Amino acid sequence: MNAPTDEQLLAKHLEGDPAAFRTLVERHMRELSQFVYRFTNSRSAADDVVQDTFVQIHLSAASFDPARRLKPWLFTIAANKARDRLRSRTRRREVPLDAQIGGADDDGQRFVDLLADEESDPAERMSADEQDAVVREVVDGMPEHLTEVLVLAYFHQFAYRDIADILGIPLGTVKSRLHAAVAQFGTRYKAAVKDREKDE
Amino acid sequence: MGDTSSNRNNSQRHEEIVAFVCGTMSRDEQAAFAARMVDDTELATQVDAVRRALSPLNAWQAPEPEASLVDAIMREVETASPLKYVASETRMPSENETRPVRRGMFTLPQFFAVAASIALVLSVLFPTVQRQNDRKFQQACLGNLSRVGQGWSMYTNAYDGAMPQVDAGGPMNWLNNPQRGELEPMVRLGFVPPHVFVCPTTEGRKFTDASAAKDLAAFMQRTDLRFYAVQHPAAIAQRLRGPMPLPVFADQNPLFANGQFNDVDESANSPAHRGQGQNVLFTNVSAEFLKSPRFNLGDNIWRVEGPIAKYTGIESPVSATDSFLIP
Repeated sequence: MNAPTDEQLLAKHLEGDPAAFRTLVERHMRELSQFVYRFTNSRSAADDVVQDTFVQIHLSAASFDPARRLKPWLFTIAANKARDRLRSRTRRREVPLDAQIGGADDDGQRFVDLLADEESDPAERMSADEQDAVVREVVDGMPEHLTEVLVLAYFHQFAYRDIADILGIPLGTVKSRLHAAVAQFGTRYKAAVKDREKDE
Repeated sequence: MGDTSSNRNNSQRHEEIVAFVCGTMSRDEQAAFAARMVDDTELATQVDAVRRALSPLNAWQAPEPEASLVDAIMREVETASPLKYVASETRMPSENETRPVRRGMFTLPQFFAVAASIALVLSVLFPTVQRQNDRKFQQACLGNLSRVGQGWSMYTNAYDGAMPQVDAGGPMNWLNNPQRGELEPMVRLGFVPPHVFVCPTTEGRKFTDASAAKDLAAFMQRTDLRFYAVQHPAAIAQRLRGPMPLPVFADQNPLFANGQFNDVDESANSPAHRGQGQNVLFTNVSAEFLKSPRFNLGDNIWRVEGPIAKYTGIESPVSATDSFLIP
């Protein structure tokens, strides 16, 4: 027998089935928690946001359009709450306009360089923990709007259309942001590894 | 033309590579892309390069949530039941509540007394309400400008640092041909919705984002709406890398209305907020309400430096410290 879909579980919850909502929570809690953790880099924020997200789903369940899918809605709420959380913590990652214009920092050029890069992964000589630390450092320095799109695409494999719905941005913007995010991550990571090697 | 088409093809190819490596394609798209890689070795090499560049992300660990989180969530859900709220909102009214109330008649003196009291209360409340309305519009306008700033920033980010005003180039008379027309790609490409370019104080706004999008070029040239003024391209080009933030968008310039020069006092603020001041967006993406048009060591953001009796649409900033916001 096929397991009930998310949408069927929510409908059952609305009908008063107490087990249905628990199944939903158990089904999505892990993925949602990892998404929020990677976005906020905080375990406590991940727990709080996941909890608030499910409470919000419960409170708004009656307004859910059963013709749509529940999972993108879950991530939409979680992404909004995670962003609020980040902003209340600190107003970070505001990159002035004049710092983004032209020159060697250009993402388009970075992406082209990335495609032509035949070097092996410079981090191959690092331990998994060291790699984890460098990735965190690199992602932490990236703008919030690029991190969220990178995490949704790479770790959760959402289609572009779903990412556009989750973040409330046009499809074209999802594509250009992901393009920029990949280029920034690739070049920054490489630079961070080289810096680390120099220090050693 | 050839370059544009080639850039578009490259850009589409890059998007497909990223989608393939991230696994965001559908199964059919993935199979078709994999088949292309067999024949196109350059494509396969590029996919490999992106895969290598993103592979460090696999080391990025995220902790498992505690199993007790499920119980914590279920406890919260049980105490936050919307059903009680719905029940109180939708319950049937009792018989007493539905019975019509008999209203007594007013005598004429009572009527005048009540009318006078209402007039008195209104005269006290009116300025307060007006102030609240002003503040509400200022905040909504500030929100619009912030969205314009985000869209502008995203546009420059996505298009290799190109800025619509600066890169439009060419001779122009900005009074006959509002400079904001150059911002049309930002709207067409979805970086900002059309309405955020117009101050919410515009009276009788007869457009929606959908209607504006139907003929975007014509919409961006309209002179009957309170479009935000934009910085003169020459000032942006000169000052972009300077130490001081440069005003880049602001409320309507009081010197120009409906495509005409309008002679006003040097200290005049924008008419958008009843002359109390103007919202201004700066190159560092911060926006604020300025109560005077003078900024940055006394530069008037509405005028070019020096005495000009009548602006004709060809004037431009005269020095590196001169900011000039045009229609």
